[in-house]
Amino acid sequence: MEFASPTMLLVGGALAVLIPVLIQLFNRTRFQITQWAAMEFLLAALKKTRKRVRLENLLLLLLRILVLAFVALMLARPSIEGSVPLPQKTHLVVVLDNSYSTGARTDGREAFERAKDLIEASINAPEFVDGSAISLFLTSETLADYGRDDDERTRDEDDEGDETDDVDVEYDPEQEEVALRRIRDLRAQLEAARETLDAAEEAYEEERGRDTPQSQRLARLQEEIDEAQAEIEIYTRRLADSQAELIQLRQGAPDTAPRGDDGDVRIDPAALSTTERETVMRKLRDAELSLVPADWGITFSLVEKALESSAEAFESKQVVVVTDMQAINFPEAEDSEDVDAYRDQLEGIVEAAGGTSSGLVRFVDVGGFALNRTLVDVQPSDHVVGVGVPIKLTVTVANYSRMEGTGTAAQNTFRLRYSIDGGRERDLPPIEDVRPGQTRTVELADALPPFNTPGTYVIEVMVDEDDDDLPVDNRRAFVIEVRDAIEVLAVDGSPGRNPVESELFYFNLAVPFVSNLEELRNDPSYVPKTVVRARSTTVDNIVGINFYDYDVVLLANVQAMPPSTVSQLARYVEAGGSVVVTLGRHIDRLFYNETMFQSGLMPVRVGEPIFPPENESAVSIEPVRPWHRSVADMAEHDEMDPNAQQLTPVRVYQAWGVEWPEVERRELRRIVDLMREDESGRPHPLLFGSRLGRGEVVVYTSPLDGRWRQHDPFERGNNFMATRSYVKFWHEMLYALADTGSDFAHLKVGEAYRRPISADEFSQNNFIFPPGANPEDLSSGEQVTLRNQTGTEQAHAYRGELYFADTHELGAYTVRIFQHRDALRALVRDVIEDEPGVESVVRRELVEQVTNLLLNYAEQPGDARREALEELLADSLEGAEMEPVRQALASRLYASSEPLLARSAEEEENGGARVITDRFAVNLDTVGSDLRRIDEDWFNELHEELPVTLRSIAEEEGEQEESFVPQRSRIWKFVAMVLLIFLAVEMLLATVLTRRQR
Amino acid sequence: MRDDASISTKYLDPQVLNQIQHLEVKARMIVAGYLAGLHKSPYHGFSVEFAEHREYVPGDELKHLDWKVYAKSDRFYIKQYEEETNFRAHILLDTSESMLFQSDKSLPSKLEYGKCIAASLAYLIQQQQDAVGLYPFHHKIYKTIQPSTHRNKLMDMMRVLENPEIGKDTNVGPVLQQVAGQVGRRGIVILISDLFNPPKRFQEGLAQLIAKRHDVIVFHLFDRAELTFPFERLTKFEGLEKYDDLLLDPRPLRKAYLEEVEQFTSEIRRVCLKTRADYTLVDTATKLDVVLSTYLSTRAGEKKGA
Repeated sequence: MEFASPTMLLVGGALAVLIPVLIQLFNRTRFQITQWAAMEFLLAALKKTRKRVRLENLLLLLLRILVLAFVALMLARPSIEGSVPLPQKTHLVVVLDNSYSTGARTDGREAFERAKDLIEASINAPEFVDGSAISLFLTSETLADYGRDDDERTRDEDDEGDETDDVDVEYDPEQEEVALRRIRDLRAQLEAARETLDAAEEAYEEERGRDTPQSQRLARLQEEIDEAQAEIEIYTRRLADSQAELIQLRQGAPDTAPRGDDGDVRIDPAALSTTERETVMRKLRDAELSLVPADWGITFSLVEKALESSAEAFESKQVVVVTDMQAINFPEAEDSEDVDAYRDQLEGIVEAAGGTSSGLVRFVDVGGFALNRTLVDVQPSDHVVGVGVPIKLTVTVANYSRMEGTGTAAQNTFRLRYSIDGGRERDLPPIEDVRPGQTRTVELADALPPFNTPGTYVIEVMVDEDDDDLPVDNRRAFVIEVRDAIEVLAVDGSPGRNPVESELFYFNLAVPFVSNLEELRNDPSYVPKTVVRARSTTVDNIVGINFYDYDVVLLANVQAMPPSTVSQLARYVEAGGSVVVTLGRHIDRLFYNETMFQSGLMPVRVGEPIFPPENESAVSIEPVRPWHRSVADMAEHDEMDPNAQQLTPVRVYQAWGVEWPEVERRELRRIVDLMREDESGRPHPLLFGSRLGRGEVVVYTSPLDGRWRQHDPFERGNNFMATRSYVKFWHEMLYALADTGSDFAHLKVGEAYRRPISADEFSQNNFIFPPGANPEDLSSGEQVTLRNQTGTEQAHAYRGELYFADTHELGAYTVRIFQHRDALRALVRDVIEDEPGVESVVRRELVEQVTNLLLNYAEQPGDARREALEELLADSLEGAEMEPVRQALASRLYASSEPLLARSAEEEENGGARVITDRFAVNLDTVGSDLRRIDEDWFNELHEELPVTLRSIAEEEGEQEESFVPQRSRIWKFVAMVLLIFLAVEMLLATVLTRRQR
Repeated sequence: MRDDASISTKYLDPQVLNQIQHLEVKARMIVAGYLAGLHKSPYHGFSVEFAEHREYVPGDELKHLDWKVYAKSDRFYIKQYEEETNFRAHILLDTSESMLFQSDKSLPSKLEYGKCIAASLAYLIQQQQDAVGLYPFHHKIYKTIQPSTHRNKLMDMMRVLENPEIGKDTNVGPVLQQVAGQVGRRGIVILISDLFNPPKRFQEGLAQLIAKRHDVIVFHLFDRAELTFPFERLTKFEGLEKYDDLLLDPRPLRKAYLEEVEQFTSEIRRVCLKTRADYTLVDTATKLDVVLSTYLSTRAGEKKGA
């Protein structure tokens, strides 16, 4: 027999002897006095009973001693070969912070491992007999969540084989996957909405802080804030719904519904939460550090649900949060709303746990750290780079150490290295003297050698890991695309009689100007090499042009185009191309509002001109989305007003208003607003855009020429486009548009890789290779399926999406799409069969895609292709409404100008399959690297009047050794119970003894 | 006597009685209450009863001549009455310290109760024109009031009873022997005591009294607590008379104690039965009519036997 707290045995033993004796002595001081005459009989009786009374007294003493000794024994928590007595059935909910910062080493051990040991000890502690339950929650997602270990799941099913027979387990891992994805999407949307809110609030505050705040602008900002808040609310609700759904799904999951021997099925909500001790132990041992930041809000809501669902079964409930107490996980002091929300959540938990005793929620601090140097960010000047152009890097490093290190760390020097495509590591210039607590951003010009071969490259930058307790945040990767040039097709809608009159006159002056904007910015004498290669054409010559040869197509004041050209252009954008539309005085509004709008190339319809040429007054312009690359730098380096940080005031001589759609499926992204409002109070955007498939459309509502010819283009204060800003603007815009893929290619860890897939990428064989895997070896990749082929609103109609959630490793991933015609055929058929309710227009579009693809794969030109197509359509499409579609397809088959046709020869070289390779980089969100811990005062203030305690892990570990009772909150209950037992025994003794006398 | 008859029977209750100070009043109350409660009893109107006639001899008081008989028979006959049996009652009251025990303040102590018995009996007896004497004692008889029918003597008795001498010891046996020696004529001896003495000694004294053909009535007095031993808590018993204090837990002792008491009383009872003494066990909560009835039944028996 072992005792968890032997001291209790000693104390209890002493008490066991002392207390009864004291009781006896105490009793002897309390007696009544009476005179007595019949003493003789009393003496006789006494003589007769003396022996027996003495015996009885001894027995009483012995019993009292035994009761106390038993209590002492219980308190000492003895254990005999695993069988343990339990004071109470407890539901212990453990929240384990597995964000990567808990991987920091203290005293040579990872805090995370230490925390695991502590929890394991708790689970093995004698307090937890059968009937007690433990739920384990991790604050961050890990790989283990996603059922990747199918073997394990199968094994579980086998183990429980017989027992599960009578339980109808309806568990579909695919559904779970879907639910998980939805949750992630919602989280991402939530995050975006929060960003919008933050920006709007910031702008609002700024405006209000001015001397003369503009009420209109304030109202508009307020409106934006309201919108964002409403959005946040919606997303939050949806998120909660999805989580509830996930919980339901998982309740049916075999390894989350363990059964005890008593046949009682206990189900806990989250996948990582389980009440079965063995399962918890396994989950605990398997728990990994996650690189995804901790999500406390969601974890706490899961905790609350878990506590609620176990409402009746347990006598006591307790929540233990094992964390490194990073300040980032708690609301900041000044932000009262966050504080309220946080407190509400904790109160919910306390209520669900049904108690207010102190220590109900226990934070266990596993923090404590020494040195951490972090590579916060690395950005190339552009993600699309011209061949032979040196690449400049902007590197941000932070020294999050809380003390001076030793060795190299002592010099506070960040030694940087880089590698290209996982090749040899090379040195970068070091960053000197970054003291603990400091963050430094450094621009490293000519840091990387120029690339001479076009292609996609993954570049990884590392900080030396010596003397770093948390090495995981010391590397970052990014993807750059090296090109010969950015090809721009500029369609001049108003060529004029001589070049000066051309709509493109100033554009053509500006675009070949530079290849390196930074040089332009800093050194006026810089003679640039051009990387933007613009080719001008007119609408008359547009038919027959292969848009796929260009990165960007500019429609400058184009009156109208043939519908076929428009649909070609739309497909080109969906496949990743970009279109810029500028609206001059020649445009045909009907064309733009009907043909262009329906094809998706116009996010909104064109309204009335809001600034007729006669009106020359200046208007203010402000960037609505200053983070959009095309204007971000403009806001910072506006040469008109370097201090204003805004594009104001400038003059715009003519602009088109837009008709604000009431319900708009297409996302309108306002980039720059004009400060001119319509009746509804909405400002009209000067610059806006929207995504269409993989590509992007940007509309500029003012002409490119305007009245430029009347002014010196480089004269200040004329028009913001008439300066070097104009040159810069176009370069930023063209780089941004040529680089539409880079949005998809740079992810935070845990963020899903989701890329709209163009029709010609349709395939059933898509593989993603995590960092380190060999893209040539298909077994090392993860096969991903296309998501939602018929599309959702967000995914823009029928275009499918390549979706991959499991981005939990840092570094560069490779995507390979193996495209076969048979796969396509089956896919199309599946889609049509699975989606009986698909709109006929969607089918029509789908069939159009198939047509293109078939042309792409055709082995023979001519009638054979038509036969193949007819065969496929006969297989796939039935119903009268398809007849016109078929006819339309038939006519299109003979369009010799089909640009896709040109590609077939290239693909034949690849054994019939077309292989598309893409790459993306996953980086750490270093928000958790700043190991700033919550101030203890603030912690106490935050948890004021809540039954929350904070203890260090050292204290906890000490308590494991010799704890008095399992939880302090239970001590009074426990003592009361002991007293009750004692009293009951006393009363029993008293009645037994006196009854015998009567 | 109309006043007396109106007095309720409540004065037979020792609890009520305990509130009355004056002993003589008490005695009258008791007797009056008793008689009021017994107005249909066969003993009613027994006070002076005609016994027999005998021939007049010179020296007899003329007031006792039965003139009606003389008128019929021309002879002198004397009416012989009960009073002329010369009945004497001797009341022996134990005033030792043990009699002071009083467990309940609402009830009289044994001594108080005994005094009531003595006084009311004396009163009753004198009311019947019989002679009554009082012998208070502890280890010895310390005062003697010879039997008399005179009312002055009754007042003396009351006075003695009011101020008894408390003795440290009891000696029932020798006292009884002493009484047997002193009292020549046959009479009724009424013993009021807790008899906390060896029963053997008591038996010896009793035997002598019986031998002199006295009728003996024993009122064996107990406090209620002495019979039930109702103590639940640790108690310090302060011994009366010669005993020391004793601190003990009464609960485990109760059974043995009650056995002892039972044994004692049954022994006394046995002794009385054997000697044909009339034995009555009285506790201080007993109503006094029991006591008076006992006396009167004995008295009636004695008359029949005579």
